[in-house]
Amino acid sequence: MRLVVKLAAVVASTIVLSLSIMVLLPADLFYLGFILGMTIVLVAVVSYPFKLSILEERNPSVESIAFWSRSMGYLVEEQSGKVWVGIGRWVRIAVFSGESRQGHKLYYKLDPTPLAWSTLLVCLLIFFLVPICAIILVYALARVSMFAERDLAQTYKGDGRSISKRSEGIMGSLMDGLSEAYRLSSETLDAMRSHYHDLMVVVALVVFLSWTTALFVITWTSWVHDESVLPIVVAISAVTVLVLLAAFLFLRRSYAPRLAELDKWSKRLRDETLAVSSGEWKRDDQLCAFDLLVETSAKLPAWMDYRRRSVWYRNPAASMLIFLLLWWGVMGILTSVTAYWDLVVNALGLILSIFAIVSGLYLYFRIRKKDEKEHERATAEWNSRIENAHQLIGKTIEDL
Amino acid sequence: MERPDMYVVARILERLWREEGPVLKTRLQIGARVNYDVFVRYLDWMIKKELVRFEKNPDGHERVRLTAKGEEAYRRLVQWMNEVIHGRL
Repeated sequence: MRLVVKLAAVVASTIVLSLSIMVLLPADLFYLGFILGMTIVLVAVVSYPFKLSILEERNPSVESIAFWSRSMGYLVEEQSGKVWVGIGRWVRIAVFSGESRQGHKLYYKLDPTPLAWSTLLVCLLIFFLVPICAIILVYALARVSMFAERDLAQTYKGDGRSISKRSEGIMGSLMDGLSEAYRLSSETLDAMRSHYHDLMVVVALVVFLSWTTALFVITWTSWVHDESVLPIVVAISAVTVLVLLAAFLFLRRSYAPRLAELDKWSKRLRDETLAVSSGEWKRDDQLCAFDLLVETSAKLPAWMDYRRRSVWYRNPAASMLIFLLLWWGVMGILTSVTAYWDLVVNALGLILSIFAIVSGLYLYFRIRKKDEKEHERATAEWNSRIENAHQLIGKTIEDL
Repeated sequence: MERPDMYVVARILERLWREEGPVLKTRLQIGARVNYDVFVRYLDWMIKKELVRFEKNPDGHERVRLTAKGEEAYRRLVQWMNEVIHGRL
């Protein structure tokens, strides 16, 4: 049975179940949305390790599938006999052939990206986001199904030999290099965007916490007369909004040009990969795929640096832990100093909150330090590798 | 020519490989993105190295064709750059 059909069956049965519960128990649309969303999320999470069938009695080569996926403009990686194809930002699939009763069979398996896992985690923590998460999930799975069960299956229903032939030789190497460059640029763009959004969230949180603290100081202490409280609160709120806007503007000015440049590169690589695969480039005098590969190789160290900066993108689990520790810490401090419980409980709450903040900061700086070292090593290795390759190519041309 | 620029050599080889047939010199020069004098020097060097060869056409225009050695040289160049991009070289 097809993935979309299975999902549709689950969704339909959940709607029926939820409606039945609504009739029996007093509930509202939010409740229905939550149950529906939770069911879709749980079904997807439980079923993602299973392999799904694409075609019976077909055994196309990994290179051929990779070549075809690249020519369709997807992000492709070949690893241990499998082709990993990125379908949007949320999910990748691994396409591989395996044994079946009828002989060979082409399968695929879902592989959610780190972004998908972290989004899912956020949705589960902030439970009213579950229906939104379910909508994203259904959309991502529908795209996967269209790629694997419709496009890929139809392409290889025939013998697929013309694709296998084109994937060999110079054409195959060019497509491989261009699409890998496209994958790297596209992932770097995602990482940089993620870093930009992380900074916006951090700035918003810091500003919000400063505003909350300022309000707390004004309303809970006797420094300000009662009649002056309202104008001061309005003034502080206005300053907070201005600071927030100025910070966002500064971030935008700093990141927008780099994002635009990377976006341009990524689109250029994608367009030229598609042009090469379709044969449109044959008459284009200005295009040179080799030049593009050389130019891209020179940009790789800078792209690696951009990717390193986004901790959330590379290590969403650690980022989530750091975020939660800091959030709990700050909220714990605010609660401990405002709530009137037992003195010992308040003191304990304060100590635990400070401990959470210190742990979060320690974890962040530890990851950062490790990353810096790793980045220095990797950049030096890349630079020497590129220099060696250029020397090798130059020498070979001289010796021809 | 002592030190040929790999970009120019690769552009000429790629242009010829893409065309799958003999190409007019002027058209090839546009693809190489160098002035005519430099282009002629590169072409002489490539003919000497047997990477390309001239072909006489019935219309009287001289055309350039990629040799098997030229195609192999281009394949190696692309393969190397591919390895660099994949971080394998």
